[in-house]
Amino acid sequence: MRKRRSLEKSQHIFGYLMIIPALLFFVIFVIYPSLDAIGLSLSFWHGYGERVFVGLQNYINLLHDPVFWLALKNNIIFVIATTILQTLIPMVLAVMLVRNNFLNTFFRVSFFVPNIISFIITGSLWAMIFEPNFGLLNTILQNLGLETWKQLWLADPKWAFPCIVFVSLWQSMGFYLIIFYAGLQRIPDEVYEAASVDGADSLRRFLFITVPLLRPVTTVVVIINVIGGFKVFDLIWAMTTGGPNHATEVMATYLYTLAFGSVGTGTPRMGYAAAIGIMILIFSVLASVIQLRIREADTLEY
Amino acid sequence: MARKVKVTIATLILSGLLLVAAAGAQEAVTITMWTWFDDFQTAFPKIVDKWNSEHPEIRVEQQVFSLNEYLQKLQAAVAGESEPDILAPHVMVRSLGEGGVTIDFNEWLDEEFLSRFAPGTIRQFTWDGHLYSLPWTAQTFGIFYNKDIFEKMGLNIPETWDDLIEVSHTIRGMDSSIQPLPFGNRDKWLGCDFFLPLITQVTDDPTLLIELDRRTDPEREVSWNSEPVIEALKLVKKLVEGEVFAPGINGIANEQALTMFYMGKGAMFYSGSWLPVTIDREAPQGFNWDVFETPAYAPGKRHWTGNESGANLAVSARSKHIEEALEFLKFMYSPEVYSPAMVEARGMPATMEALQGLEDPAIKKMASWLEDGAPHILYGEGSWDAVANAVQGLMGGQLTPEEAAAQIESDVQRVIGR
Amino acid sequence: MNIKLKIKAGDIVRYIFLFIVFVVTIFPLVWMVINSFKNRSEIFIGPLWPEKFMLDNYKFVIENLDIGKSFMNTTIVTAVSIFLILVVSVMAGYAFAKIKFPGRNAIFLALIASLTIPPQVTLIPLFLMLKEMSLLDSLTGLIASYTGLGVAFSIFLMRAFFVTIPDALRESAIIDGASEFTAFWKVVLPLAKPGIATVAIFQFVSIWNEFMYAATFILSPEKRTLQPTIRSLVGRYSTDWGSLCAGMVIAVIPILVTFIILQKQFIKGLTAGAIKG
Repeated sequence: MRKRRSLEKSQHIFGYLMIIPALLFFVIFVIYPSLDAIGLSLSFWHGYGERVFVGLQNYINLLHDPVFWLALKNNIIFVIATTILQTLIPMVLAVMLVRNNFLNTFFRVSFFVPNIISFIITGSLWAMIFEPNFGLLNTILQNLGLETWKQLWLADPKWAFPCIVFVSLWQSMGFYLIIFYAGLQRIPDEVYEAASVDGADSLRRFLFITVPLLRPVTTVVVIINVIGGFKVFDLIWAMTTGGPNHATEVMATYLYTLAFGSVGTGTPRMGYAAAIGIMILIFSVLASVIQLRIREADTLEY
Repeated sequence: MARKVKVTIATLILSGLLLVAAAGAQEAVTITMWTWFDDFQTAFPKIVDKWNSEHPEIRVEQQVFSLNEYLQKLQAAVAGESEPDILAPHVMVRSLGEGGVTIDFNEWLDEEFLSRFAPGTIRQFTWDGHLYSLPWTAQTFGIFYNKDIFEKMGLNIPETWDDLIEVSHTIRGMDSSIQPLPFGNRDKWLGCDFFLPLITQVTDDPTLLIELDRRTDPEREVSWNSEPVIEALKLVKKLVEGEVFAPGINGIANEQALTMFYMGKGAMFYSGSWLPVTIDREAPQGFNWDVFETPAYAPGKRHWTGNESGANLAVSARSKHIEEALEFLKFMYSPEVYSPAMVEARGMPATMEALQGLEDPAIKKMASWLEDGAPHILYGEGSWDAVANAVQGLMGGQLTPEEAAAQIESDVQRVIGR
Repeated sequence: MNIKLKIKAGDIVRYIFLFIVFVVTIFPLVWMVINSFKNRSEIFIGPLWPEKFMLDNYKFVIENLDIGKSFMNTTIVTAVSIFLILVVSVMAGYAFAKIKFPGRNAIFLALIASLTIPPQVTLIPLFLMLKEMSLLDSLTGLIASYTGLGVAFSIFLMRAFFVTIPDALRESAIIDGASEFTAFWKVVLPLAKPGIATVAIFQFVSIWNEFMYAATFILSPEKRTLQPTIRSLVGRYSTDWGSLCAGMVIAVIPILVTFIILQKQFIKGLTAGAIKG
């Protein structure tokens, strides 16, 4: 018995030793600043001078701030739209490209390329494309004789968000595709062969075999999408800075404006900005937890 | 053995002497300067080199950052109490000054030096008798236009906004591929700069805007949700509906509109006195342009135009070398240094002397409008954001003038109340 | 006969669809590359294909922006960060997947939860902390920050890979007398190559493209990294689009090349090492 106990103990020690280096970095460079940020959210601070402790005042102000609610609403819409699109489409594409031949590999690699481009570049690039007068999109529509399809795109509150969602899809599609592709590798060919013998066609094979077997991967993809959707900043900032008139404002862009000023807001309100940051965190965590609860009967072990 | 000992002792004594000498010697002072004035990217190093060669005891190091990362860096530095000795506070002039981060120039510089500046520029940076920043360049706004297009279409320089609308109609009628006035409001600031002087145009009273922004006079009740503001907003709406601007104004970035102007796809362009140097750099060869005064609200009324400078310099109050920093500043403003720098960067000077010595025709013309200068930069809590967002909403057709005015006031009140 | 035709038609439809997606995916980038060779005034107005290809933009970027130095700095920061992240995350990922120890689940949950923290919020606190540690304006400080930032997701990925490797491998090694570390190092780790490649690719992309921390924590010009340097081409009043595109092309090529190389490894590893059933 003692031998087993000490074997267990040495296992514990080994486990801790293995995680300590990572935890060291994590605690110092992530946890500590985050705790500081929480403290900041409970104070008023201009970035210089004293930090004044005000308890939950920032949060109370948030609840009364119509811009915050608008940003939150935009975030939720963004999360739902991008999660659905950025899960289904890459999954379908991965299935289409599952065979390992040259053409498929070529497609897989090319679809990933947008993901490599930094948000700043992507945002600037697509802002150029969507430019209403001489941007690529309207020019092409014009040349194809589809003038009535021309829109103001990013300038039009109706279209600004859909454009941003599209660009987000464009950029991240390849990333999720690869994750699904890796997941598909784990599904043995025999399963498919058996199904073929039974007479199932592609669609049924997809719906009743592939999708269920991809469940764990899908869960991961959905969670990453949800978290990313609440945190989204760079892309929107580069394309519209949250405008026009808050049409594309999300929590992170509002945070940034409050902390650093888009061009100028007078006094920076770091405490308030930090409070918004904490709200982003809370919502992401909530959404992920809800998502996981729904999938409780799942193979992803914890 | 003995020899080794002797050598060791000698070395020790020598090192000791050197250390003492080093400790006793004067340490050179280093001053840092951070700005975002990219027009001065070539002029500043020259100024710094000249200074450094003449002043070995006070070394200056400067960096010019691009604006989109400058504010972030500055704020981080301020938070860490490590800001540069000389900085360009941009719109944080007031908050940094009142927060004690930058010095009050009234306490450090004498009347003689300060009187060299164009009067409005000093007022702009003064709060409660404290001067927190010195203007580096002055600025006015006007409407730049393509002379070839105007000649070809036989257009007259518009005197009032109504004239401008007529000119726009003519342009559209004669050539639908040319936009009368491409305007890029995607980043919100140009719309703000355009709209705010109009309030002064309506009332002929520049102090109204200052009061709206600062709310310092207890005797005077002002609100953004008032007649003059709504009138000014209505004017903007009239211009939008008169199809003066290119469509999709909120989706166009300023530089895209500018490109349209350069390429002859836009007849006019609203901009400030920083534009000539940009045109020099970027427009195609043979681009024939000039600039006319901002139109007036009605015939015979003053052509009020925005005249506040965004390029200004402050000194950190926490610097260990305030005296030296001020010396360098005075050097920068000395006529032999200041005027050539302005000429090289094609900037509008802020000192009376340099203004009088102006030779560049475009800048000279624009400088003559300084007398009709109206405020257009907001420093109050939440003011700028409120106006910028509302103007974007108005220009995009999402808000009526009344709604926009109400939104501005309620946004500001909400921020003040926080 | 009929069945064969049906399959062919389905395939064709599939490939047409894929081709359309391909065009939409690649075209903006092709446009960016074309723009990098154009004169700035031709970019918005004027034909798609430039009158003449000019290298001026590239010359401008290389000469005026000192992009070589930024490139070097970014390479150093990225390489060292990836190395550190891999070392600590592989170890930790293995532990979370294979070793039982008290608090394992709680700590792992904390790591996952940290993925929801938006970086804008920790920017100033991290800046202040680095300042106190005298790590401000240093590549070291940036590397440490990126490592801290990257471990959570990397551990998550590595753990997922390790989980798919059967416990039996470790257990039989231990029964045969190997130490825990040997079991890790000699037996299980070699099978995790695809996982390592995956983490490397993802971290490479995020660190190479990171802008906010790089712009805020690095102050001296000789230590600047690539993204802030390129972003400086986006001016307040005007943007040199041609040079911006040239800069973007320069910034993108290393990742593209690395990805193509690593991707082959990754696929090879997946299909060869995949354990079915």
